[in-house]
Amino acid sequence: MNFKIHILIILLFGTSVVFAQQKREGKHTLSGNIKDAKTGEDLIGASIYVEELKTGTITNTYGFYSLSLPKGNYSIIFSYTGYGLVKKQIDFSEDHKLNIELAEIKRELKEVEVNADKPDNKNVSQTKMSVIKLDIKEVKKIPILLGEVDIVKAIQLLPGIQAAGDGNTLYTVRGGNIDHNLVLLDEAVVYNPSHVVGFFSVFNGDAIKDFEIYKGGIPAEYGGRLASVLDVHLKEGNSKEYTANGGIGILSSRFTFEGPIEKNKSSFIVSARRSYYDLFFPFSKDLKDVTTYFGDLNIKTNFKLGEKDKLYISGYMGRDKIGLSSLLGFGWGNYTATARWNHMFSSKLFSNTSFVFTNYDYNFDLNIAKNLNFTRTNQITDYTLKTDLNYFFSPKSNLKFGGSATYHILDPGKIKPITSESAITPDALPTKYALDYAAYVNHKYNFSSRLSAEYGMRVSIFQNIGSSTVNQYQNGTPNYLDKNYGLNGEILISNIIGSSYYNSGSIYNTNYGLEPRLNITYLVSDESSVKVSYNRTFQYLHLIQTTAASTGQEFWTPTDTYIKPQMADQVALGYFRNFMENAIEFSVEGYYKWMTNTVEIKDGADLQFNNHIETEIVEGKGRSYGLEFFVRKQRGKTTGWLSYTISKSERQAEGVNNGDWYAYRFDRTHYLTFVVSHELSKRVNVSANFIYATGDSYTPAIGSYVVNGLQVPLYGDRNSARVPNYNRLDLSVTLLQKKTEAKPLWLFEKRKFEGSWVFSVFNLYNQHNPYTINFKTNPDTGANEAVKTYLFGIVPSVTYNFKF
Amino acid sequence: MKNRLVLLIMIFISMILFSCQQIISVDIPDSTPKLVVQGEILTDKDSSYVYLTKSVSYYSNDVYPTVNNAVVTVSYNGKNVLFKPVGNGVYKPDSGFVPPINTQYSLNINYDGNTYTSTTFLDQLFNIDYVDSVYTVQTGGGGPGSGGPGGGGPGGGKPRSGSSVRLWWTDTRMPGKYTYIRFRHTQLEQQQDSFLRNIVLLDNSQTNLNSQISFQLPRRYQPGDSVFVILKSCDYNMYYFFQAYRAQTSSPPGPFQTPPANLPTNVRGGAIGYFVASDIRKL
Repeated sequence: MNFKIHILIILLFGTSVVFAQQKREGKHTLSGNIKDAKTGEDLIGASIYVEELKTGTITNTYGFYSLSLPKGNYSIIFSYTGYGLVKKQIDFSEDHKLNIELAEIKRELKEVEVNADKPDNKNVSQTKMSVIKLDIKEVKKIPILLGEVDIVKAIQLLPGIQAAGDGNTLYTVRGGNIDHNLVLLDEAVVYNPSHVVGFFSVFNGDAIKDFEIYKGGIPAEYGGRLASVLDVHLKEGNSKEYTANGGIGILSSRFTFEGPIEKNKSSFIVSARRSYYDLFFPFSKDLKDVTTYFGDLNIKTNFKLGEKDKLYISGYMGRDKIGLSSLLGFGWGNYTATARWNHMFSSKLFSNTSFVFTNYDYNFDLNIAKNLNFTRTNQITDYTLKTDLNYFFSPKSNLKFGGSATYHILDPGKIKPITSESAITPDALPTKYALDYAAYVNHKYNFSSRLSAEYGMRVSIFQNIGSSTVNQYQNGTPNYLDKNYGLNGEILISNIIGSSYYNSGSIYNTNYGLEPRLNITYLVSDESSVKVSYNRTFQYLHLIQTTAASTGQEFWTPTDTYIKPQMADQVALGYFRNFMENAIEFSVEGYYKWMTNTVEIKDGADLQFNNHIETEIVEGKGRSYGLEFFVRKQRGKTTGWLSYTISKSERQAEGVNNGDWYAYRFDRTHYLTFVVSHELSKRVNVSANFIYATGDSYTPAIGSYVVNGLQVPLYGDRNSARVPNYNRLDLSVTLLQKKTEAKPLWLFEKRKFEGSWVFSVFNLYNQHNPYTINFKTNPDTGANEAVKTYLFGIVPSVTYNFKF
Repeated sequence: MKNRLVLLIMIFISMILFSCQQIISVDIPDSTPKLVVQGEILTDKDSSYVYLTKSVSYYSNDVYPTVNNAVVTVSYNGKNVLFKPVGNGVYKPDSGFVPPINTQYSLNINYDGNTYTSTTFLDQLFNIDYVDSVYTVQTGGGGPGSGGPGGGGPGGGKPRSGSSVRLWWTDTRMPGKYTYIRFRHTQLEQQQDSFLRNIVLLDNSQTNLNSQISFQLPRRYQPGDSVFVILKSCDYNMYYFFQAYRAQTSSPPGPFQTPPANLPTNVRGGAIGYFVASDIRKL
């Protein structure tokens, strides 16, 4: 009996036991969907609460809920943050199907039984920790670089999540690497979530319905990355009426159009962005050789196929192009497509089956001379089939289980001449193929009114497939330590002694991982709880990146014969407390994370177009720990949060700093953020955010020497120095225009036109925060210098947003 | 009004896209001086040498101290050749030394009670079949770097009109052999900044072998200009050293900066630098 059969038996057995335990007689089920009353969008995470039993559930990703209760007459409250709640009296003598529409506060509500929205204690009572959900409406108030609404910039203001560089959309979570973050857009992996060297993320705020980020306690349905999951859902499109909205900024603009295909049954949304600052470059002497732009497009549509079936199709395509003179240029693009089929087997069993396509590619062009030029490309393509099932036993018990299979195709490098005269001949590194399977079970159970747990297991398998040639190395390892070599008396040596060839389709290497997940919540009172979580995660794809930001030179490489899967174990303990009838949320979480087989780049690694990349990286270890404090107010005229993190993140690898532990590149001891938004009047809103952080670590020069007539810095230990501390204040003012009647136009019926001006200032007091520090010789004086490079001074911007 | 708007936007874009640099003072501890080796075995008669210096603290304004009291030996084919100090940190063999090609060379340095060793292989280089030039007319406006002798190359902008110099050769060596080409409009011996702008590194596994190819110098020349070209074979260690140097020095700071790292060395025992053997062609 092989390993896969073992897993299947465990999953089936485990599932059937839970089913058997949960059989109850005399119960009836209330199920349905909860939607936005104005747009028809499904509401994710809306609450369904049974007053008499003091229990309830929430809607899943598709707005579906199911509640099994004993016979009786109950008051059921349906609510969602920012929406008026709806209360229904239900006689539970038979199964009910009840779709509910909730309306945003301040709008005229049709429901008879309507109450004002009140803050709930979800953050205290939910069986989750280390997860934060932000309302996209709140995100739109946060002052952001160049006024471009950006969910990634917003999450970087949350505890434990830090920007990887000033103004950068790449981020680190609880001391993990940049590539330890799983970024999902409608279930499709986004391999590079940044535009324009990381200044903007790929997420268009107008097209996003909902997102949340897990920093720990990651549910078993997610896998493939060590540190976090950013799960982003696109809007489905307004199923009731045609609407359009957009924004015109100084450097880019966006436009979204949505509406019903068949009213209340199917809808679509198309949302596009394009930068146009390159149009002005020809007017500048310095910039006329620079070509740079980004653009992206989100499309989504859905069809109701019957009472039990619904189909969603969504896609994203985005492209960046940057050309610095005629000499060099680079670009990258993400393309994703997701087809999802929701099926309701019964009022208790909900399923979703998805087919997902993802592609990420980059190109780097060098054009030295007419006969010396080339373009180098690299790409990764995934095809994924996955099924998730959700069985709602009772308000106490909710089971999720499913599986997925992904076929990865990685092209690590292709070189082609740009002109026919080029002396460079076409070349390509061998394509790498891999299969990635996973199966999971996740059960949420309320043991009592105070104690609840969510526990699960994920099994992941990663297989390398031929055709492939695998190098063989001296001493059986691509890197062995020579103690009598190198600058500090030791160096990693690689020596290829042969190779093995594997035929097309043959599986030549298999790795697997068992990934237990656990969340326990103990409700001390209605306002406070203690939570604990543990998760183990495996990562089979690794980003090889050397530049400080995403510049299109980085690439993904799979686990294989020599590169082991990265693994992390994380434990977290948290105390959650709400004040002032849940108006103020407070939490403190402590965590400790161990990482093994982290991918560390050797000093001076030769990474580009290298067919034995395993010789340029070494296995490392990581450890990170910290305390995160978070206070948030989500309702009222003044909203915002205060976040403070004290943490440490370190790495260790053979051949780096003589094997001693050293600071991670983005290790920051202190990280404080303050975000506030205040509604001065119905038409004026003021927002500000402030960040203070310990400086990143960097590798300092400690000496200098001369070789071939040139002065060369002699560097000390990796990441053994700190750049100056970081601090920044941003401010924005939003002015809402008075709504005006708009004439009917094409599909748009008689509607009101809404406009708003957003004036924002990034880095209000013009702080020159260092991006990098490098060491070089002054060509005029010959003196050695340390040079700080900063990207942004004060950056004002203005955006006009409209909606009709 | 329109012009003002364009100006305003241009200023704005410049603020965003152009990073700024400031010289800052950072605390740097003194480092222990390390031996720096620069050794070249060259097929030109009497041009082989080993040059020894020591590193200094980063902010030190001292001149780089030369090492004149080391014992330097180069071995090949069972022979030991003593490189004697000739002053100013330079060690040379007795006159008349011409190293044989396709031979492995070992360096042994005894200094201050420590032994430093290195090995390299002298590969034969191809011969240049002939050199010609072709006049190319500038397309588009001239950009920065297009002025002066040797301009119009990687300095940015579009190359100006001028003659492009082409070298023609046939490489019959096995794939995986390396060549570096240096060129300038002045005498090569005087050039100090050659790594960055005037060197092209070639890995022959990326070019056509066993058939004649032309290599065009990435500059355009005017009547009266001079150009000096030198081609050297080198082993992978040297190629790697040059690549690392280029990666470290040519990557702009900010988002594009590669992590700083010490240059690789093929000298064992804790020294810095390189030891290389090259077959050489000069034009």
